[in-house]
Amino acid sequence: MRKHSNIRTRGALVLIVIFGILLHSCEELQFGNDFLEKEPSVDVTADTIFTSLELSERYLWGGYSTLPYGLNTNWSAKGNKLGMDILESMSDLCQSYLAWGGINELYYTGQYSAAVENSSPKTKYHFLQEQSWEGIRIGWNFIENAARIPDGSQSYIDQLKAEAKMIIALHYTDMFRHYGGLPWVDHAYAPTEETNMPRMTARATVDSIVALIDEAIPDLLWEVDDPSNWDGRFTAAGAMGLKARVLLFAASPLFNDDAPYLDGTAAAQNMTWYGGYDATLWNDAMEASKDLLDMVESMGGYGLVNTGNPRQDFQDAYYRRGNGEILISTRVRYQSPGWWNAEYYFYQSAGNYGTACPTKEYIDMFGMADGTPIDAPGSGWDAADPWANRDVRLYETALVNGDVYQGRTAELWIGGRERQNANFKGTASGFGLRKFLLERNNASAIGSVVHWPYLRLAEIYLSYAEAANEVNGGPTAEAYAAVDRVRSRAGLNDLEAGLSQEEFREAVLQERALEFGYEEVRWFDIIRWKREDLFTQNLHGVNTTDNGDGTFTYEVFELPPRYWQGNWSPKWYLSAFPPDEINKNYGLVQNPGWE
Amino acid sequence: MIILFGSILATMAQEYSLTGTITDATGEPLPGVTVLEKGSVSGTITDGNGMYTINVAPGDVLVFSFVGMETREIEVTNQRVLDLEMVSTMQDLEEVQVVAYGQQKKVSITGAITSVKSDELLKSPNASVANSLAGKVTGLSTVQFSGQPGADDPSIFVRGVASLSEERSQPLMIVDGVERSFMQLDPNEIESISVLKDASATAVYGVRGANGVIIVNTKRGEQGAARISASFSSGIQQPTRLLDFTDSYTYAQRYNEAQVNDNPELTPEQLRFTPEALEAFRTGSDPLIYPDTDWMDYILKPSAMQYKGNVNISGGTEKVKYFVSIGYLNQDGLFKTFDSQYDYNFSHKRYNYRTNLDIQVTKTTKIGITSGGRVGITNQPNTKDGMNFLFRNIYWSVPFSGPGLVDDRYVLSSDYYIPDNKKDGLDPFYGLGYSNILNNNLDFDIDIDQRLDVITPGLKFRAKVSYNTDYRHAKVRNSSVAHYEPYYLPDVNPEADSTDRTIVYRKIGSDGNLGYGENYGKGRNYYMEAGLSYAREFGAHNLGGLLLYNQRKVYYPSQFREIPTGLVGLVGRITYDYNTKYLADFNIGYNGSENFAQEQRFGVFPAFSAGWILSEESFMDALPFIEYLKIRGSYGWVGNDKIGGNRFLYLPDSYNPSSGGYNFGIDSPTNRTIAREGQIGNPDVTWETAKKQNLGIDLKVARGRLGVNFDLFRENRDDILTFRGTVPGIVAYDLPAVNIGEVENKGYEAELRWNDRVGAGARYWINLNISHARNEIIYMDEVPQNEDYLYRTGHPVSQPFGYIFDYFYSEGDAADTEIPDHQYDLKPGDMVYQDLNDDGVINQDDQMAIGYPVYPEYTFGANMGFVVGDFEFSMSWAGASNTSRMLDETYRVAFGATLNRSLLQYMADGRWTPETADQATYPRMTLTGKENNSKDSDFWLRDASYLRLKNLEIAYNFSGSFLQRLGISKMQAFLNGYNLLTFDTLDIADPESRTGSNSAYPLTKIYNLGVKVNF
Repeated sequence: MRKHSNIRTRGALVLIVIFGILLHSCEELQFGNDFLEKEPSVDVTADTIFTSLELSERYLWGGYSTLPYGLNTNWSAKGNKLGMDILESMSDLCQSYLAWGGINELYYTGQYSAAVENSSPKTKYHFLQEQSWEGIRIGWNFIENAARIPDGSQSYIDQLKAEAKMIIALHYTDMFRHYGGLPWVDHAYAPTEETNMPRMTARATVDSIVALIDEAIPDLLWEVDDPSNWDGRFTAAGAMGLKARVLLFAASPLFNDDAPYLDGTAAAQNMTWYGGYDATLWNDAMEASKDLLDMVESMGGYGLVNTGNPRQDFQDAYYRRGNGEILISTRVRYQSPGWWNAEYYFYQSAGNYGTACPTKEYIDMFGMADGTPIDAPGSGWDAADPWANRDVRLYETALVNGDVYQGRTAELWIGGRERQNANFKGTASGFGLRKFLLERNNASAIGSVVHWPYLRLAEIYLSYAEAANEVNGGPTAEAYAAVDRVRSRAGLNDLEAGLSQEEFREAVLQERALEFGYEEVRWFDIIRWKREDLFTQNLHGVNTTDNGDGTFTYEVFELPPRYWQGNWSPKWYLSAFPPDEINKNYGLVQNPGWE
Repeated sequence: MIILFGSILATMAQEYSLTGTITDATGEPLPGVTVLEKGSVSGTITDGNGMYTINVAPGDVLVFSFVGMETREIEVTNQRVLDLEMVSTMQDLEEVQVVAYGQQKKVSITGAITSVKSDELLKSPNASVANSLAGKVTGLSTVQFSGQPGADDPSIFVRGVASLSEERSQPLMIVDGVERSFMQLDPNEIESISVLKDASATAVYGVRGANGVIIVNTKRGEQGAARISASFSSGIQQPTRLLDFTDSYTYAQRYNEAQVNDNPELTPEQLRFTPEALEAFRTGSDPLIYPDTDWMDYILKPSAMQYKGNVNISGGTEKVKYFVSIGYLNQDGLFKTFDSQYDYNFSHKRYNYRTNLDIQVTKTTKIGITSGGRVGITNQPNTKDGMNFLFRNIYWSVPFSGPGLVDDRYVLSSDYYIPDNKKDGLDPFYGLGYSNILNNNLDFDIDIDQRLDVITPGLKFRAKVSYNTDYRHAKVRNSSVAHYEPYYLPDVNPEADSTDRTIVYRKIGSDGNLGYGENYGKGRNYYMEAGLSYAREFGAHNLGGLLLYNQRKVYYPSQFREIPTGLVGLVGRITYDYNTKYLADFNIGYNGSENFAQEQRFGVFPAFSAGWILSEESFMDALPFIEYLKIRGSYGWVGNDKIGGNRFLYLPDSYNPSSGGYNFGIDSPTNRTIAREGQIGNPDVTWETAKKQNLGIDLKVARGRLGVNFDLFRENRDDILTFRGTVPGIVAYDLPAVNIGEVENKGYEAELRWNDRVGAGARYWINLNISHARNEIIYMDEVPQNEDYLYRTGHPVSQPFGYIFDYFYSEGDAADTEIPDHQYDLKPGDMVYQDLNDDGVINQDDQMAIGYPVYPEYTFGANMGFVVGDFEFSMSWAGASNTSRMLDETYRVAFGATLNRSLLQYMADGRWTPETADQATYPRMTLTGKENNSKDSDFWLRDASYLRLKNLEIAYNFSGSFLQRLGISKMQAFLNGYNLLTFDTLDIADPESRTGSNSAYPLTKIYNLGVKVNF
């Protein structure tokens, strides 16, 4: 009996010890509610961020990361806009052969409709996936909290706030160019807030953007301090350039005319135009450009890349960071990671899948090496050797047969190394892309430092010339000088004197096409000038055949048709809002033609 | 004559030896039955085989009696053999049912619970035991999407879906009282699997119980001599169905046809496939330059082996009982490895081990030690775009992309002869090396059960501590391989004779060595509970109770890995019955979840249930054929705290101080770190609540041979955690979770069981069941839609939407102005859709609910079998209906999204042409019409109902004295199979598989042969 109880005691003791060990091993023994409390960890809240200059800056850099990049880069919602196509292929300058890209699926086939904007990531500007509204939220959130940042001089805090304003202004500028008037988000919304944000008129939208830029300019540095480390931040010059860009767009006939480009509710409410022609808009655009050009003259620090080597200068002007010509530069990474890398997809999509094959129409715009148009009498153009002795920008923009390429000559004939067969997508129009791809090798593009030249000083010269031509009813000497400044960098002669207003306008538009191909300028140029003629014309490519005796035969062929060539409607000028957003009833009104 | 008569009379009066076998209703022999001559004390009891022998005289009355069985009196006439089937009196009174945190007598259950025993699971040779449940348990549906070795666990639903997404409707899985997955346990380790369906069964799980609970108990030892059971089997796996792609010639023809359809002006030279290429494909004259490879056939073996083995020992004394099991599974994959230097084929080896001990420490104290684990070793190829895209990439390959391996060379045809990018079937994995992944799980529990009769009789203290770890180690061996492009000699060497057809190769890339990399993963969690239980009879009153505290901590969760997740709860239960006739249960769970703020953190989840066993009432005596009839009902509240993997939903705002970077500067490679705002918190979030009702009937008639169960349920799930859909996108914050969703789910389950015996040693059984669950979204915050039929609300969760296919456009229709504007120039053979809102345009607003979600609304099971002598036969059919699959990607678009991918045979055969317009089952071949013809529509939404022979087993039990000499109590050889037959209308792919971008490893059927020996 005694022994028995002994066993029992011992058994119980063993149990207690086992349980004790088990329980003890659970680091901190807690029960009930205490057990559920979030263990101490480093909670980072708004208080943490905005009570440190470094963390606040990090938050602002997040705003920079929302800025647009004109090339398709990766499979993120933002990086594959247009389904890995580029905006340029919507214009007359080039053709996309990317069968599964947004341009072929939605635009060339005419399958684009407002409903597509609800879900498809393949439209030219996606209202919600472009990160514009995220950028705007970051901007306002930063501005609202900036007063809490404890260290840093007041001027530096003001500069950061001004940069935040520019992030907002840049996103609005881009959206304005795709949609017209927009709802104005003027602070960072809290989930509990009412969200009634009616779409504003085109005028109010432009005024709001310009006001924001004007607020920012005085607080921004003229040039970036320590550009080696900080190039890419907003400067006063960049802000003035953006203002010039948005005002020129606003002054153009798309919005500034006697009638809206298309009737509809949004037009009736002046969301897609100014409600009438207003000559002062052209003046505002001219003044904005002039202000910047004058500042450049007086302050220095900026100028066109012009070392007397036109071809290299032109390449450096758009490709090289920190070249003094870039006013706004955006980034997705430091170096391109390689040709077949899905983190810089443009190489594949353009080089192999043909997102950006130049059209013959584009090639023909480039004049001779001295700038004479190829069809001008005495230009020296030789139909048997059509790509010789042309504007150097042609060779830096398109890959044409016979040009110097990878230490040899480019073979664009069918069966040649750049076009192994007629169906090879990368050069399916008979021309390849050179811009941004350079020589498609390690020596030039692959692994090089990359960026997106969102806005270059050269554009401001041409914008000034264009606006001055409209303000004065014809080209002035200053307007000529501005255009010639851009032409001379490319080694071209001055523009022909004595042009009429229309001729000069056309010459400037062409100059912009030649200078800014693949830089997201052309699309906006042809829509703001309502160039139905350029949308409806048939586009062409050239098949080159090697005759085997050093000569070539050229056969012009029609490129695959685009839906709007035969079914034109001005509705294509602006994008549709996603119907789901309109149905949320916070004040969006659909653009004309997409209701 | 008289003498004869007299002798008969004499015989009648004489005693003789009568024998017989006593069985229970299921035909199992009953040992220990008392056989008495009425009015005497002489008698016998049946032996281990239910046999008895007794000396009787005609006219004697024999009394057969056995605990729990109806006592039978039978008068002896002059038979020599008297077999008897005994019927249970108290309706399996002793049979127990696993319930939450314990067991209850089956008769007193008032909730909706269905169980499966181990032997049912052992009949299936498949690797994931969850797949064996299909068709066997009412209210439970499984969908097996993949047959990949080591990754073939199905999706499981208990009573369908009741939250706003399928992921959030997954049931809670409990193994031996602790939350753990049971799917990769060895079925030999499993005692029973119970599915808890209604609120009364799951309320005690509170905030986790809303989606149903699956409780698995592992086997434990029983008192007696050591029993050893060993089994081994080997089987062959074969794909149930492989996609059927066209050969090169058909592909090329159809591609050219598409080009001409799109642009009739094209000349043959302008087509992608030249006349030479077509001719070469047709004749197969040039297999290197113009290859024709059936990639599925080329890279996959027709079958792969699998082996299973298990040895387990159980037994015990009064003090110590043990169950020890070691199991082994080896599944080979279907990939050919050719002459590769290393093995990249899929394979999965699984070693399951378990030791369960029960120790009676003192008269009143029991300790249970439950330790089990498994080691899994998975081998798999390295792939280009990750395992999830392996099969998608293989399916994208085209037949003319290369001949495969020729003379040890990996040959890919060049773009020179057949233009455009093309991928071959080897490309996604061949030469890329392999990965070998070790998974090690170890679960360890200690239970204490202390009787406290000292305080009051029937009171017990119980406690449990469980500690579980898992560890993962992957060895990644990367490699690369060179490929060769074949050319005709003159095409690379202009000097050569232009008619020379000699093949020369150009080598591209290089053969890499096997690299080495590794990565690790780990996890651990602990669980503890302590509480009191009570069970006592007071005359006819039976009272039971349970009060328990538990908590669980999981380390290294997927989100905020550094902060463990916690769960705390109190469990209460009171059970009462009067005379086992009137039953009532009250269950309550009181839980807290870390996802919610202090004020919202704890919730009470009560459930009431009651039952009435009518067959115990005297008025039922009028219906003597009804042996057992119970009606039961329950009502209760259960919760769900899941919303994806998000945690701490209540914290007001959070920022990530280092999330990505931005590259400022000109030549500064270092990115500046970015800080981002996280999800906005909602301090008011709380759990979603399920209000569940259940009404059930259990019936047994015809002397227990026919059993019927019927359950009717309804669930209203409120406060479902979801996101608002109507917040303007332009506010651009990461939306907070809110409790606003509402779903109603209702349905029924019915089960019919019949078993009977025919003569001695032969019996058969059949079980038919059907389960139905249909849910409907009552509320979700939806964007206002232009048409009523566009709303998701009012439809089941994950309801597919799409256009309605009308007819194929044909030439004559051109003049018809009734055709709505498709915003695309329709060509003959293109799909015409119905203009649902009659606005003349086909757009987003013309989509409506079509078909059913991927989880079935109806599941069926038919399980049947018989035993004749030494033969056993059983089979199990499982079916599903009201389930759909949307054909997508490879399955839908000819030549794929990029127009250079594969073409399925059904598209090539069924395509529209002017000649076949009437019987076309696929639109015209086209490249430009892809967008119009491949919209989500009812044309692509296919019925995925199926009926399949999930399982079949034929077994033979050896008998003979040699067995006894070897000490063998049972020896069985068996042949069984899995997924043997499938009847469905999907045809193109397996009806359970996914038919979109996330194509997985094919489902397999298994033929398996084995032996089982018990000592």
